[in-house]
Amino acid sequence: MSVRAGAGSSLTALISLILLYVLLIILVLVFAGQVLGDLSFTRSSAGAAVIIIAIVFPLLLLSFVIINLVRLIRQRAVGRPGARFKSRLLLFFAVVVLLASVPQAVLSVNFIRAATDAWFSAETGHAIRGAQDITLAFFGQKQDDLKSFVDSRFLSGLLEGLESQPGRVWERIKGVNPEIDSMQVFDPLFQETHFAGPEEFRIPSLRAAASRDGQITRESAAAVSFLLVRTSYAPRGLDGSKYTVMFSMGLPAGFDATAGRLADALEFFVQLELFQSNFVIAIALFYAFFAVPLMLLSVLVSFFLSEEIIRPIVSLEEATRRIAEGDFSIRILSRRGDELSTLVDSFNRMVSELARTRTKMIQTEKIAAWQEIAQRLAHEIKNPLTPIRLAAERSLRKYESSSSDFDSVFRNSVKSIVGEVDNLNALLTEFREFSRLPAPSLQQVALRPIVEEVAATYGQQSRHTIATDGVPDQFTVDADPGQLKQLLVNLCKNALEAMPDGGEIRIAADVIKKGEDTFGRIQVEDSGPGIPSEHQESIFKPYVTTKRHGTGLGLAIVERIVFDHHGQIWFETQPGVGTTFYLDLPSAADQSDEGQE
Amino acid sequence: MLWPHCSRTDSRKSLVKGFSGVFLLLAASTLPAQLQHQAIIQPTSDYLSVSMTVAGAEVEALFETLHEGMRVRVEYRIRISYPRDRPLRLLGDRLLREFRPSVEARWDPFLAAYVMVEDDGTTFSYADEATFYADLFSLANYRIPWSAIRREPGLVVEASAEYTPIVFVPGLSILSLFAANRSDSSPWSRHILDPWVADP
Repeated sequence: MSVRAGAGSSLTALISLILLYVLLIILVLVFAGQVLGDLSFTRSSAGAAVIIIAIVFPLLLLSFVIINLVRLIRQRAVGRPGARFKSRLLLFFAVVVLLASVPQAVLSVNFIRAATDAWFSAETGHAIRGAQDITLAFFGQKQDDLKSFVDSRFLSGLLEGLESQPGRVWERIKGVNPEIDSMQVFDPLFQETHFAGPEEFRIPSLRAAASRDGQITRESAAAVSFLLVRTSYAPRGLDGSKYTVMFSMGLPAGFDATAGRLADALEFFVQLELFQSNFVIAIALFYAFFAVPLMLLSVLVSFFLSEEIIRPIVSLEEATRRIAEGDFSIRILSRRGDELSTLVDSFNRMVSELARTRTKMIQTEKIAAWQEIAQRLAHEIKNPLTPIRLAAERSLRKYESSSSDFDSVFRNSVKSIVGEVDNLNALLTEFREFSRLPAPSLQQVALRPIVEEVAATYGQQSRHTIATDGVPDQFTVDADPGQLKQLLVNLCKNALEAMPDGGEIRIAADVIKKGEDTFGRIQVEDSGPGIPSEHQESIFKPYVTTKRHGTGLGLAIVERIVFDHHGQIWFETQPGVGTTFYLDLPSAADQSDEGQE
Repeated sequence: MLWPHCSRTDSRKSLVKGFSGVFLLLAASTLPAQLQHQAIIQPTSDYLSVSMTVAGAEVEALFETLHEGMRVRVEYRIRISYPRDRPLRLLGDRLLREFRPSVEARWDPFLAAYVMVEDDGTTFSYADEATFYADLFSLANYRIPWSAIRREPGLVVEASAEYTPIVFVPGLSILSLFAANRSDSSPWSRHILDPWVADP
């Protein structure tokens, strides 16, 4: 017979926990990567799946935790070995998880709050807005400069000769206003006639045709951006036909990108400023969204670990219980390598040693018992042999001497011999009964009729009374009726013999509870002299008697019957007052109305 | 009334903080949608034309949002369905395709104009507020070619518009999980067509 401790039966649970943990980590990575990025992925089927898993996962974990908790509560209710210890371990683990999680959560949320407060303070806002204002002011200045230039009354003079010598015109313009970066000239048919400046500033003729005089636009081409304005020039002698001139003023390199980044930063800042409190709450809830499953998973791990820890202990408890029941074949299996396995190995060695010792003890006890029985029997048989021999020898002497009183001596001698032979027969009968006491055949037995029968048999002696009114009419015990009667007879005989000058015997019964078990308690009380203290320890031993003609088996038989009924017997005695024997016999019947201890 | 605009009246300091803000968010989410739309579904031989005009968005709040540097978004949702056969009619129409043309708008301080960007990247700028507002909240002649949907009698076209008063920048998109920028949607309008009637 073996009990398994710390074996690999929990491998499935371990793998499940690892899978759950990996799933949680994947969820955190996927969701955390997207949640601060673009949440539009939640509209996709994959995103929806992630959302569903993220919602179902904690519920799944919660249900696992609840199932395990309910199981633990049930285990505690039925008193499963180790359940209380497991609860305590679980509580410790949970406390540890909480102790670790709470500061982390507080720290994380406060860190985010502090970070958002610090990074997006009012000063930061002023800086971003100020930067945008400066950029806008610079941009506006450039626009104003260009506008002033094209609105200038000197411009028409500068453009003189544009149709014939545009190169010289461009030189004059650059001389007057070096800020102008390009000049593109179109004839009245919007055919380009001249371009001066960086090639990136050149625009298509259609674009020029679509614009209006004096309208300033911002253009972007390749990596540059510039301001563009259109003006018209009517050369003399062309019947009012006008040339179109596009002037450009370049903006600093990266102006568009910087302006775009500023706009984005401002947008982000304004939104964060607007929703900062919600953002912190959202982050906290998001944290909880994954922290709670993590905590639940930790609790599940706690269940697993506590089960792993208590399993050897439960095995030990079960093994000790079986040993207590007499099963010395029990052994505990365990994994090698840890301290618990060392303990288990020690336990197994101890059990083996106990089994060997017990076998030796039993053998020794058997030999001792047989030796004692042999001595007792020899003693008890030898005792009557002496008076038998004396009586026979006396009769023989009278007969050989033809004594006149031979008849009377012979009669007395034969009577004496017959009496001693009767004693020997009684002794051997009782011995046989003790040795052949059968296993009890348990049934529900009403106690009162048996008690009354015993009282009727032994209560007839004039100097003794047996009171049975302490036994309720409906009182029953689970016992063998014959053995129960013998038990009561022996106790009553023992009491009667202890009170040769008369006395009272009181028999009572009651129902008691010991934990969850119900017992029927029978009391047999006498008013005798009590049991001397030197005999109190040995009164249940066979062949121990204080009476001249006692066999010393009466109380031994009583104890044997009680033992076979899985009951208990003990006594209370007081010199000069009397002795009370208590017998607790297991009872399946509910007689709780009749009394409880 | 949309919550973000309510909270940004005179000063940002007046923002309802903490959990009371969340409570207000939840309370606002129970308010009935005020956005309305009109849809004109016009089948032609080559395509199905859908035009929509949306009303109900708060004008003042819209321009305030734009001038603070944020963007707004209008999404037009068009569902093309067909009725199921009689035994399965209780399950509703069978969705064939869904189209979601959208526009995002912002204020460009350099251009001093409202810039509207369609989902295909087409950009428009408006100096005039009224024109910008009208264009933002209208979908003109959105064409769904018959090749994209099956042309059968009993075609069901459902239309709705969703107005997002603040488009979150990505770093704050987590707030959309908590409906901080609760979008407003117009009720779905349902149009049952028989495209063969319009077929010349």
